[in-house]
Amino acid sequence: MVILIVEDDALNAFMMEQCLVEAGHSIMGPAGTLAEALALIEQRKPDLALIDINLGHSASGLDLARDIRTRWNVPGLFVTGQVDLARAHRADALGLLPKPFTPRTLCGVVSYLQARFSKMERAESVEPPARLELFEYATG
Amino acid sequence: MRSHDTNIGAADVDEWVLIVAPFREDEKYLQQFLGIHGIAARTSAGELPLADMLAQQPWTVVLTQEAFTPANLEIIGASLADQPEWSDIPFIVLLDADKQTNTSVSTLQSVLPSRHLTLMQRPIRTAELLTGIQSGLAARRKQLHVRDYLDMQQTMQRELNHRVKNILSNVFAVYHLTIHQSPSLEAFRQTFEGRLSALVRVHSILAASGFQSTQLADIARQTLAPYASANVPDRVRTEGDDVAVGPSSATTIGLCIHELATNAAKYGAFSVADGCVSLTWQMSEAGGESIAKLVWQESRGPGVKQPTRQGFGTMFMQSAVRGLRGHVEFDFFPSGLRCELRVPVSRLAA
Repeated sequence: MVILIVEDDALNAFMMEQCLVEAGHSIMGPAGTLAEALALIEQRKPDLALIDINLGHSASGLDLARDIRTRWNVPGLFVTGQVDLARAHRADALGLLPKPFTPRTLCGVVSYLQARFSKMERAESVEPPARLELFEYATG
Repeated sequence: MRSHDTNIGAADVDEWVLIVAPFREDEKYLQQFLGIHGIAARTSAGELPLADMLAQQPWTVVLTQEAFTPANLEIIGASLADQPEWSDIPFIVLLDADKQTNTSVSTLQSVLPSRHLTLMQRPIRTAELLTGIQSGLAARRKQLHVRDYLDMQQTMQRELNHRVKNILSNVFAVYHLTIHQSPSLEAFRQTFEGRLSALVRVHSILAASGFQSTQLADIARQTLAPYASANVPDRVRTEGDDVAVGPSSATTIGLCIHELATNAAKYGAFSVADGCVSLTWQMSEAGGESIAKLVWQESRGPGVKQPTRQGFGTMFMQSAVRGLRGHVEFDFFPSGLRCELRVPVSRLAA
């Protein structure tokens, strides 16, 4: 999958990038601000966006998740410690992976979502990873 | 509070008293009396229903015995039941000296159990009434201070929780990235400790600035402080313009400098006694925006050559600087490594 990482923390972004590249995914970003994320999407549409909520320049990943879903139909997954905020905007994203998480957890979550996107029969019967919280947008 | 010219008796519209005195012109007289003393007052008669007036959170309620109707008492009881924990609107009750008084007080106390209730018997001296109401307003002011304090505490708890999660995420990331590239437990220990120490140093700088922006010079100096040598005065040189760095970028830049320094300690200028490093930076304009150019230059070290594969430090810096909408270049000169980072000043300040 082509995955956009929207995360203004360099260490977290790098860890996500490393493990997803090793799992065979293609990475866009990391983008540290709303504007940078939108500029990247203008160039190429990702299959999935991993979105931190608290971005630089006082911007919010909440706005980004809504924007990319409505304008480009790009599904977003909140990767954040601000779980209450994420849940309050459940209509805008597939779900939530609370921080902190391990590379293995992230790869498991992305692999599960990839299976769902490709409508693999297996995905219907597979339980979502324990730490992944799916919202109605994903399950509906 | 809504502004009603006929109902406002003072310039300060935040503090107001609700008067519920349905007998003859009692409300009007009480309102005028409070107005003379600079206290804003509103009445329930002719404005909004009592429940709506109470919902607007008066600072004090003045209630006469004639207002003790079952309907009013039910409304008062219901609205007070919904008050938050910090709130206890003061009630001042003006009673008559008749045989009904005891019954009225009992009824009122059943509606307002353990509430801020002051009973006054009519005829009442104006000084007593005034000080009673002023005391009620002062009590309410304190309650609102408590509310603000609790709000602030909740905000701080949320912020603290958010920061702790970010720090834990960073530690997770350092742990996984380091163990992934460590050939032995000892190598892991050394590298992990070094990276955590770099995070701690940046955190200390940010804490000193109240987690606001800090100066690039402070990050550079503190991150390279462990490499300074009393025997080699120019072992570490940092110099540059004033550049403000925001909390998130400070961690990124601090870790980039740390990776360069540990690389120099393993293979470059810091691996020999006489080697030295200069880290300088300056501002320039490019593409209509200010760019900070940082140059890391090693000298008097062992000869270096282009590595055959990219290490953790190089890959981390490329990812981190890309996240700041910047660029990084490495030149492996025989005289020593030169690394140049270009980052928009606006992104550094974020």
